[in-house]
Amino acid sequence: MEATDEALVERCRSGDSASFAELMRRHQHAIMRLAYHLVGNRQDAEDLCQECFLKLYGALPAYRPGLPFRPWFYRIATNVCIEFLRRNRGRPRWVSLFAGKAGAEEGVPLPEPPSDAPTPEEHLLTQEQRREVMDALMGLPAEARLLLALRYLNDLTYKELASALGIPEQAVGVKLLRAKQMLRRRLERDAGGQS
Amino acid sequence: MRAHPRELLQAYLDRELAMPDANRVEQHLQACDECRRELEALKADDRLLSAYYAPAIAPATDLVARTVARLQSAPRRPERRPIGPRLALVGALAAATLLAWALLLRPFRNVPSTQVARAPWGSIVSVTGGPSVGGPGRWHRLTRSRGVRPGDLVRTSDVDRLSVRFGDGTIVELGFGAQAAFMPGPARPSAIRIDYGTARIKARPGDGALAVYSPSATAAVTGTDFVIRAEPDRSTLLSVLRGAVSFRSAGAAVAVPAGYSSVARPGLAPSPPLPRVFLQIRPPGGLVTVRWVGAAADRRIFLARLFAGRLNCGFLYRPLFAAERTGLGSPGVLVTRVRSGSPAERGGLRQGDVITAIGGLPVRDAADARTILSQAVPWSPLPVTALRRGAPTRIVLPPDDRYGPPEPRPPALADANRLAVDGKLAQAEAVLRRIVSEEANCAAAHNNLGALLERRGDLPAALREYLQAAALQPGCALYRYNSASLLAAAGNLEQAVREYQRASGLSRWWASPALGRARALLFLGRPAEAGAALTAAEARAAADPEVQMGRAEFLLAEGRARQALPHARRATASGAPEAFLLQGILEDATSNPRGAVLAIQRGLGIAPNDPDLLDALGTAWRHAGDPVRSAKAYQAALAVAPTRTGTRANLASLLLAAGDLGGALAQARTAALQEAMNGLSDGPGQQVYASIALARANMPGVEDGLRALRSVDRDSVSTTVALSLLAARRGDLRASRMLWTEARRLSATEAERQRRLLTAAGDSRGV
Repeated sequence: MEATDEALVERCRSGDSASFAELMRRHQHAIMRLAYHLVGNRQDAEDLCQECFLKLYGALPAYRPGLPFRPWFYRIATNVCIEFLRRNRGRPRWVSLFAGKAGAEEGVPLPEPPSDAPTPEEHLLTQEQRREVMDALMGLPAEARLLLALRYLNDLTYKELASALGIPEQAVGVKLLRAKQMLRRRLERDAGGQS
Repeated sequence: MRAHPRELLQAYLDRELAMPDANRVEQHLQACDECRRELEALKADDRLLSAYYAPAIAPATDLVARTVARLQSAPRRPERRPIGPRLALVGALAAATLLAWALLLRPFRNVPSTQVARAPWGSIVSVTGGPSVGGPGRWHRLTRSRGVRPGDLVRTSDVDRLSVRFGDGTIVELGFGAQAAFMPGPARPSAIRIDYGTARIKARPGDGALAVYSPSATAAVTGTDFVIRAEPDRSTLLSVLRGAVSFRSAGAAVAVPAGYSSVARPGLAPSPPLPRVFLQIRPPGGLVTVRWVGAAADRRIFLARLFAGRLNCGFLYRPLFAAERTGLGSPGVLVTRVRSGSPAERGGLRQGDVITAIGGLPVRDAADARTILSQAVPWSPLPVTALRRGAPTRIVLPPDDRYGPPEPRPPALADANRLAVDGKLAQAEAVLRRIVSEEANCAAAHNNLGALLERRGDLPAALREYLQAAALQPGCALYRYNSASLLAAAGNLEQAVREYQRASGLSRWWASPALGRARALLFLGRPAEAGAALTAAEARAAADPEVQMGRAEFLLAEGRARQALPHARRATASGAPEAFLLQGILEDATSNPRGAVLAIQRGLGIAPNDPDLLDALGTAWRHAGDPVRSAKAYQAALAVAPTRTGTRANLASLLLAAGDLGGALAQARTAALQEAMNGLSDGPGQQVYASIALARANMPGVEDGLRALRSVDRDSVSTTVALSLLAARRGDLRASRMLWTEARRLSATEAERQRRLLTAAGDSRGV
């Protein structure tokens, strides 16, 4: 049996460093993706991702045994991300020098049939559309961006979202709705401006 | 009840509403068109966001190690129950893994014969930490007494290393954080599967090739030594140290010889072998190849290879400009740089001195200086007269210890040197060949002939001459260093390391051998030793631009672009184009595209037609917000190297962003066709072409162009997908679905092929 996250945290707290590495290995991909979508470039994303785990390490003594690990960790990660976004507000995004060498910008999907898209119609998100969505998302308040990413990228449940963001569970649906409506308005406005 | 329950719709959609609310919404939706439309809109948003967030991005493989290492330096230990002293060890080990090729910290050792009484199939030569063996959920510790058994799945954590030796002498080393499966075979595994992490494999020649699989590629090997690394993004890096490896992915194969590397990405053919690659590094955002600096194709390096008296005794000079001459009274050359620790420096020569005479002979211009220096003897002191702030100064350059004991030199050697320095290479070679045939024992002539051959590109012949020279004059650091450089370029790194070491011991001031050794060790995956060698070079000449360049590359390989930047800036004092390229890369990687442009332009001042510099310039201009200059730079790169499809793809994406759809399409199409013709399936050109076609589907001719491309390269996933999506937009769902199925089949074929091969290998050799 693979050890649970909670068991690993317990072991970290009693001094087992390999458990911390294992914990990080399990969760680094999810946190990296979250960070990448929030900041838009790899270097900052890696810094941010690392910061989340460093904060986690610092918070280990405060962990209460029996607490589910994921929401607790996402609460920490969320605070790190919000702090980061506030600190870097208005900073221009940059695109990697070498992105072009691979023929497309980093993180932009090349047309490749994913196994979970059985028909082509479901895959019609072109680079252009992607850029539009990205621009619209970047225009949203940091908290809204974070909320959407946690829900649609990290697949957090309402319960986990409530715990991560420190809001009542009943408010999650409303906040998601507002964020999505804001995003839609931005997308419509951008599209209207172009034609 | 009549009020619209808009606020609840999202929670309703996500099935997160409690029963009474859910029923209320349900009933309301029956009656209210407006809310039904909103619900549909929310569903569409969900699909959009899920598709938007779909692409994966993997953290660097060493992020865990780096983070654990940082926990050591940062004062953020948990206060109450500190993670004990074991973590200090973890940190020290993790720090050593930072390099891209981190793997092997210990030289191979043979198994003591006493141990062979009842040796396991794979006996453990060395082990650090506690690697485990087993499978998901049932891992146990791999012990020395158990060894590796046929069919084992072995995993190393971030603190483990493992070296296994098989019956036929084949050695497999697993680096930190790796997992590999060993398929059954009689004397050694019939195949090895690397799931993730780095492995170094020294395969003995045996019956049949040993197949090595990674998630995206296959390498078939025999009698070779190579490093393979499976990245979390499923790309695979291969670097061959000895022999040649056939490297396959996406149905295409390339033969990678020793000293070369190749990269395979999922669904793409392996990159062509990259010659004289020093390092494959991962700065933010991609993979870069740093060129191996050191081939005598470069004039400066050629001159440094020569036995040519005092030509290389540690200072650079240039002729005086007219304005500088006035008021000096006598002509001369201006000293622009003095290498630290060199005879020139120890003799007291300073930057800014104007040399008016050397060895009693007047120096009027640079040609005089070159001639006199190349004829001077390195074993005795050399008097130099210079003007320092207008006042005459006498300087004596001490002997240069790089040359060992004095050796006899035939008079014709001076003629050959003059011809070589003046660029008359064919004539110089004729003279040298005559000397060698008449006096076979003239080490200097063998060495200089080697330099000429190297400059001409005949590396094996050049190496023979250098080795001959070193054998005739074992005390000469220069000959050993030259031999080591070519051994390294030929991929014979272990021997190169030894030669560099000997060269280093023969001269007290020269930093280059230690630097060469550091590079070779880095490439061999021995970063700790490489760091030590680099420190040794720095102890001799910390300020030397060559040494600074070495430090910058080392830091960049560790992923520390910001720390590397100041070293790269200082490295540009050497005037080497590579240094400017590196500085440009780092400036851009640290969000300073303007700085990148300036650095690259300075490099282009020295090497105006360097396609690497021109390509980097294009990208830097683009990031600096000047698409016109960016396009010009890309076009200049393409004028020099028309088949650089990566540059052409960059240009296409730039044109597209600028709204020049026709131009973008034309460039992307050319690049795509070039790739298809060269058997590079799904290269950058094809991918950009497919993307453009998708983004601008209503352009006339786009679909026809894609069809034409597909008729040349039927295996291209991106082209097939693009055609499928275009058909879907036209409403031709039948054609679209057919193409989609085909594309999925294409991308699945390779995975399937690998799985079959693996199973077959397991069955036929099963115990």
